[in-house]
Amino acid sequence: MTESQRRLIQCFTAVFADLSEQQAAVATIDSVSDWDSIATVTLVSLIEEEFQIHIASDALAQLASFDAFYRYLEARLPAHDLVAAR
Amino acid sequence: MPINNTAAPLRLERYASLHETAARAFNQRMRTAHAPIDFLLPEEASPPVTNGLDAPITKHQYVLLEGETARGGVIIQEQPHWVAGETRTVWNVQSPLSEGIADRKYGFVAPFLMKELLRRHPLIYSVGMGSASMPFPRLLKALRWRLTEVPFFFRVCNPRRFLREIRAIRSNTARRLLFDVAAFSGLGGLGIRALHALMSRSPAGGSAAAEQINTFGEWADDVWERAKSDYRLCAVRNQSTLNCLYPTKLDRLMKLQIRLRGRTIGWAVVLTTRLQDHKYFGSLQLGTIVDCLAPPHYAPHVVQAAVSALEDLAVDLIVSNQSHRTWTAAFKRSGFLSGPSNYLFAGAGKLLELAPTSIGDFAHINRGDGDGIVNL
Repeated sequence: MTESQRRLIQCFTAVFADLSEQQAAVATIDSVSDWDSIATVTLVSLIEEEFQIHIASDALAQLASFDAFYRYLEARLPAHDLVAAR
Repeated sequence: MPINNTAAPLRLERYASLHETAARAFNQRMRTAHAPIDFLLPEEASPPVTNGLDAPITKHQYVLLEGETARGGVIIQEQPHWVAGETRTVWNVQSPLSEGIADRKYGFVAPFLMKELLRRHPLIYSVGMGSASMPFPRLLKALRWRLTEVPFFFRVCNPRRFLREIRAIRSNTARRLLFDVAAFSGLGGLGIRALHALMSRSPAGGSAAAEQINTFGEWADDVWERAKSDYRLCAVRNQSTLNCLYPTKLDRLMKLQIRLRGRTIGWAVVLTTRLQDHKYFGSLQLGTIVDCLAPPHYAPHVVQAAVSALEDLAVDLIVSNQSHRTWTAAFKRSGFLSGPSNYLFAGAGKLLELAPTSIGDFAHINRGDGDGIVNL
């Protein structure tokens, strides 16, 4: 697991308190019953703050899973932020 | 993994006839899903609502599209406002719709819609919304809009009927019994009248008189010019905008020109509603002071005159929502009590720069703003 994945999991579990870390890592909008528009906004705000990035509203339609968020971050964060955690 | 990778970009367009098929399909999906909503997209395009060719206020229906599929919509009321010392066009957001209400998969629609509106026009707000626990205000809060309750005031004119009908307070058997005893013994009426009398203070300089009018005249421009500098945010309330906001055809509305010693000092718009089994007010005859304006020192006179006009119509209860300290003080001085408010103001973007403290310090917001009159 990379450091970024670990931080992203923390964002997910902060918004979806019922998820374990393992569940967060594979979460999708279909698998998380609390994932509605308000959760989307909260999650995006938290991730923007945590990773100091701006997530464009155009991207929201694609960000429907943990994996999609991670791939979005991968494309935007410096490489050293994505290395494996020690 | 069911991720919306192939989705077409969302785009917001003014509703036109080419969107009618998509709107009908959207509405059908919402109906099929039993979406908990009070309104749908219009199924026929119509010209913007203006109340007149040169009217300063227009309403536009927008539709949010993913490819050619409607995923949501919103009404924008474009209206001139007095904003920090100059007149600017402000957008008021009404009747937002998102497919996310029916299907969580489209939870991205509502945030996109609100961000897009803010991007297009940073002077934007919404009013009403029921309560802070409703989905739309919760979404706005998550988007970091500032939500504030617009204070609610009430004055009981017919204590006996009030005590018998007020469902908001008659919430259990013990309370109903207590209120019935208070109503029929006359003690409740005595108490309520004493409370209003204790809180009321006559306006300085005598009582004002209200005259019912059909349209606002040039005098309304004078009132506006003398009153506007008290506010940092206020919908323009001059002759032309008032005649657009309160057209003659709305016969439940009573427009009042208010004079003190023969001189026009302000105006009020009041409304009477015969309620039937209302969830809060039972079957009361409700009077609402919808809107009002005067220079600050005349605000108590305007409230007193509006109350007198409604009492002449034998209303049981008078209510109003008012944000600005000028008006909250005037209503308290007229014996109004405050209660829990379900009428919210939500502002974002550049409007927030106007509001370092509370809404009462900067904005004149009441039921005359946005679609605030809709549920009265």
